[in-house]
Amino acid sequence: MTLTMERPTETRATLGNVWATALRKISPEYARLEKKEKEARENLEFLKREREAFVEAARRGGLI
Amino acid sequence: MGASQDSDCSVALEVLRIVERSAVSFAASLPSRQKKRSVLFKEAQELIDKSAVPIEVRIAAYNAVLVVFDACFDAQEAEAERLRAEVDAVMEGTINLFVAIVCLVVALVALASRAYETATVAFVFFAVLGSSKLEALIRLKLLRGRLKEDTDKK
Repeated sequence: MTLTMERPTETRATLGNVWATALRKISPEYARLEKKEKEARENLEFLKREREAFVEAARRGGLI
Repeated sequence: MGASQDSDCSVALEVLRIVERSAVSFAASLPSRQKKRSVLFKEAQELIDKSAVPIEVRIAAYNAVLVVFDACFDAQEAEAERLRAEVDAVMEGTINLFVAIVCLVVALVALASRAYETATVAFVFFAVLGSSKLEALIRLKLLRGRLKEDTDKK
């Protein structure tokens, strides 16, 4: 028998959000950590978009 | 021929300077610098697009910029994953700590009501959850110290 990770249900996700909101209110450190994590993910998305645009431009210019 | 080589060298040098500046800018991951980084890469792209620049130099510049992109992407990805794991750990730890406190309250109430079996079960749950989840408090405490250090450095 294999154990598989349960997918989070909608209720669990909602509870998680409620808990995260409470933590944000209680602990400013947690809020800052979450903000930093969000910024890192945004940066990652930005890098991905820039890279795609760069490769596309090189393709149009006949470099690749 | 000599003049042409000089021109090639100066173009290559210009490309390298742009790549270097881009690498330095990319290394810093603040969102406010995104615009600046974007401008730098457009600068590099314009140079690569110039038809007067020899194709070998353009390809080399293109590859160098891609290497910078990939290195920055990997570093940023690792940073994002590390932060995500930290957020999850704090979240999970505090949930378990909360459950442990509830167990302790239940155990004390049961003890006061002389429901010894319930009290024993609740105490066992409290001991199991509480012992490992004191870690959550310590983690939050450490996090507070580290974030304070970061702020002090800035």
